[in-house]
Amino acid sequence: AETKWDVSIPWGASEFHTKDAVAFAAAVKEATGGEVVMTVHAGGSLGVRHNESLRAIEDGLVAMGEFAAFVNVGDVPILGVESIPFLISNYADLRIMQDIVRPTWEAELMKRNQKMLYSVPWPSQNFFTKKKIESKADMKGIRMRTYDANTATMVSNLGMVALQLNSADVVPALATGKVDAVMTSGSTAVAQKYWEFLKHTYNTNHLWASNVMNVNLDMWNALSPAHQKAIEGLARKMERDFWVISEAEHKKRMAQLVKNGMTVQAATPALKAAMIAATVTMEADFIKRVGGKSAEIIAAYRKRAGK
Amino acid sequence: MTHILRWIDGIAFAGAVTASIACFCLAVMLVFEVIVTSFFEWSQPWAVEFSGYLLLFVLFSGSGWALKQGAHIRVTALTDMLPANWMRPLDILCSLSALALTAYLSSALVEHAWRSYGFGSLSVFPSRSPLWVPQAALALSVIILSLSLLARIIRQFRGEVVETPSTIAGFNE
Amino acid sequence: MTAPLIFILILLFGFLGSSVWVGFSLMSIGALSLEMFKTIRVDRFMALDFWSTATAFELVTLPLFILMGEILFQTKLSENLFAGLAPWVRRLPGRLTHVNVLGSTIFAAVSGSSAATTATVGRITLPELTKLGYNKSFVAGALAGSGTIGFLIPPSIPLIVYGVLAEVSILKLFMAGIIPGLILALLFMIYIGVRATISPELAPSTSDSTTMLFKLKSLLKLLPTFLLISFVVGSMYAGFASVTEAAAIGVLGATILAASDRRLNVKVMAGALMGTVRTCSMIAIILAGALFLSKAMARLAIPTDVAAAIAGFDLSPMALIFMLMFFYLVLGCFLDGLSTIVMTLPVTLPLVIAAGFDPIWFGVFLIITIEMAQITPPIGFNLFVIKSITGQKIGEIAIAALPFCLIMIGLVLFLTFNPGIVTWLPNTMR
Ligand code: NA
Ligand code: NA
Repeated sequence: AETKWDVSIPWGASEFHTKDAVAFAAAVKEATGGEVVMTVHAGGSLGVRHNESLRAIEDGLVAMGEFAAFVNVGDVPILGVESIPFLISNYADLRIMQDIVRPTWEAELMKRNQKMLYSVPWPSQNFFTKKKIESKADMKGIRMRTYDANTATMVSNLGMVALQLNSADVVPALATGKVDAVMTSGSTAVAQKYWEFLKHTYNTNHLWASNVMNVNLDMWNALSPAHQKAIEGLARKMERDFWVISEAEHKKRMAQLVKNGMTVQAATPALKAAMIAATVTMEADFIKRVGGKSAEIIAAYRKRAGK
Repeated sequence: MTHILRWIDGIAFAGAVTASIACFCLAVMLVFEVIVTSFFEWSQPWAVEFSGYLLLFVLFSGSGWALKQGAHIRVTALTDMLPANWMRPLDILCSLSALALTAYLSSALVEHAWRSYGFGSLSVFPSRSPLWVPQAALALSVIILSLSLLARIIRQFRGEVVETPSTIAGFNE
Repeated sequence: MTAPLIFILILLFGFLGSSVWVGFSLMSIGALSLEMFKTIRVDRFMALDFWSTATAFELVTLPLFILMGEILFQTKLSENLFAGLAPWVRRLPGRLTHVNVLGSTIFAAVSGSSAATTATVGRITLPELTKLGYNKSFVAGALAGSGTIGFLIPPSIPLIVYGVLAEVSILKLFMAGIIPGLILALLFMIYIGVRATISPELAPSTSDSTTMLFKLKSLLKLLPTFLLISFVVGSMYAGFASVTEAAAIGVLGATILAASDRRLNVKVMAGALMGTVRTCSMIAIILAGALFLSKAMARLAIPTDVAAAIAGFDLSPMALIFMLMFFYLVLGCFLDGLSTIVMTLPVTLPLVIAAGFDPIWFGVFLIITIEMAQITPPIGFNLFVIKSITGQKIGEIAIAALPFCLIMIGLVLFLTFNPGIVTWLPNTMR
C-alpha cells in the first residue's frame, strides 16, 4: 500500500528550508521503494498559515508540516529555549542545546499528537538598519520591527521603539520610512531585497531560531516499523547536511547583501555589551515562565557548552 | 414565543453594538499608534495583536443583527422566476440550511476555544494573552448568528415579517 | 480531480440558485466536498480557518475605510465635490460618472484593497449621482470596474503577497503596477465617454453656468476633498502611518471634516458605526466562505491539477498566457482572487518563467486577472459591496460591469504583446 503525505511549508519554493524538504521527500521515496510519497507544497499553498501549522498537524489536517519553533511558544513554551538572547553563540552550541532539549521537545510535541522528524536552524540573526548603530546612543529612537515578546522587550530595553507591524505592512513601511530597522536572518533579507530600503547589516547573532518538521502521530503510527526506521534514519542523517547548508547560507546571503551595496559587519563590542545588558534577565524570566525541565535543560547546556 | 424572539433580537442588537464599539476602538487605537510612534518614541505593544481581536468583533459579532436587517447577500436570479407560493417553503429551506451550517460552525468554534483553554495556548505577542478569550468571543458571535437564523425560521413558520426593510441613508426607494 | 470538481459545481449551482445566502453556501459547499472526498476533521479545519480569517491583519483596513465612507456620507463632502466638478465636466461626455474612476484611482493610492476602495468611493458617489439623475446601472458599473484599480496602484495587498511568494522585489512590483493602473483608468474613462455619447441620457447635464468666475469659485468647493486626500496620503507617504494605520487616519480626517461641517454628534457617529458593521458583516461572511471554499479546493488539489494539466499541454508561450488568463478568469468567478494566487503559484510561476516571461510582468498579469474576479458573478466582491449600497440585483450590476471586465481582458492581451509597458518603470530603478 502506498502512503501519500502532503507537506505544508509556509516559505517559498526557493527558500533553503523548502529545498531541504524536497530533498528529504525524494530520499524517503527512494528508501521506501516508492511506498511513502511526500508531496511538498510551498508558499502555504495548502491553505495552512504558519502559526496554525502545529494545530493543523495535530488534527491531521495536513500529514506533515514545517514551522518555526518560536512561533509556537504560546502552545509549547519550551520551544522558545533557543531564542533566549545570547545563550547560544554558534552552530556547535546549538547542536549541544538541541541534543539536550530534543527529548523534551519530542515529548511535548507528542502530547500534541505529532512526531518531530528533524530540526534545521535559520542562519545567524542580524539587525538591518538605515543609519549606523555602533553604540547604545545610536539606537535611541530607532523604530525597529519586532515580531514577538522577547524581541520587543530587548528592543525597548535598548532604547529603540519596538514596532509591531503585521507582515504585509513591513515593506511599505520600509519604503516610506515608517520603520527604520528590522531584525532577521540573511535569507529573509535577500528574499525581501532589503538593499532597496536599508544600508547596514550588523551580525548581532542575538538569538537562534530553528524550524521543526513534524508528522501527524496517527499517520506515523500507521506506517510499517521498517518504513518508520528508514525515515527516522534518513531524518537523522539528512539533518546534519541541512545544518551545513544553513551555516553556508549565512555567508552566501551576506555576500549577496554586500554585492547589492549594503555594508555587513559584526556588531561592535559596545553594541553587543548593550544588547547583553538589555536582555540579561530573560533567561531567568524564561525559566520562571516555562517551569518544568527548563532550568535543568539550561543548566545542562551551560555545563556542557562551558558557559 | 414572541418573548423569545424579542430576546434574540435584543441579543443580536447587542452584538451589533459591540461590533460598533470595537470598530470605534480600532480606529482610536490606530490613530493613537500613529501619534505615539511618530512623535513620542513609543509604540503600543498590543496594537497589532488587538487590532486582530477587535477585527473579529467588527466582522462577526453584528452578523445576526445584519441578518435581520436583510444585509446578507443571496442570489435571487433563479428564485424570482418561481411561482409565488413556492417562495415561503423555499425560504424556510434556505434558513434551515444556513442554520445547519452556522450550528456546525458554532460547535466547531466552541471546541476550538475549549481546546485552546485546555492547552493553555497563549498568543505569541508581548501580551501573551490566553487565546481562548478571543476565540470564545468569535464562537459567541456565530452562536448569536445561529440564534438569529432560528428566530427567522420561527417567524417564517408563524407567517411574520422576517426582515426589517433595509434602507441605507441616501437610498430610500 | 474531475469528480470533486463536478460535485462542487453542482452544489454551487444548487445552493446559490436556490438563494441560500452566498457566504453560507460557499462554506457549506467547502465542508460537504471535504467530507465527501477527504478523511480529515472538517470541523477543525473550518474552525481554524474561520479564526484566521476573523483575525487576518490584511482585513483591518476594510472596516476603517468603510467607516470613513460612512462618516463622509454625513458631511457635505460629496455634495461639494460634485458641485465643484460639475461646471468643469459639462462638455465631457459622461460628465460626473468619471468621478468614480478618478476617485477610485486616487483612493487606490491609500487603500490596498479593492472592496474597501469600492465601498468608500461608492458611499460618496453613488447616492449623489443617482440623486442628480444619472443612470444607476451605468454609474454602478463604472464604480465596480474602477474600484478594482486599488490592486494595481500601490499599496496593494495582492502585489505584496505575490512578491513574497515569487521572491521578487515588492518595490519594483509596486512601480510596475502604476502605468497599467493608469492606462486602465484612462481606458475606463474613454469607455464611459463613448457610451455616454451614444446614450446621452445616461449622464444628464448638472450645471448651467459656465462663466470662468463661476468655475473658479466652484473650485473652492473641492478644497475639503483635496485636504482630506492630502492628509491621508501624506500620513502614509511621509512615514507617519503604516498602510493599515492610514485607514484609521482616514477615519480621523473624515471625523474632522464632519466636525467642521457641524454635522458631528453622537447620533451621526453611531449611525456611521452601525452602517459599517452592517456592510462588514455582509462582506465578512462571504469572504470567510470564499476563503474556506478556496482552501477546500486546494486540499482537493483542483487548482493545482488543472494548472498541471495546462503544463502538460506543452503550449507555446503566448498560448500558455492565454490559457492561464482563461484559467484565472474562470477560477475568479468562484474564488477569492488572492487565494487563487496562493494556491496556484507554485505550479504556474515556474511554467511562466520557463516560457521566458518576467516574473514582475507576471505579477501584474495576475493582479489584473484577480481584479476581474472582483466583478465576475456569481462571487464578485465589488458587486456585493455595490449591492449593499444601492440595493440593485447582482445580475444587474454584473452586466453593467461586464464592459469593464472586457476592457481588462483587452489590457491583459495588450500587455502580453507589449510587456515593456509593465517592466519599463521598475527597470529605471538603480
Ligand atoms: Na492600492
Ligand atoms: Na468573481
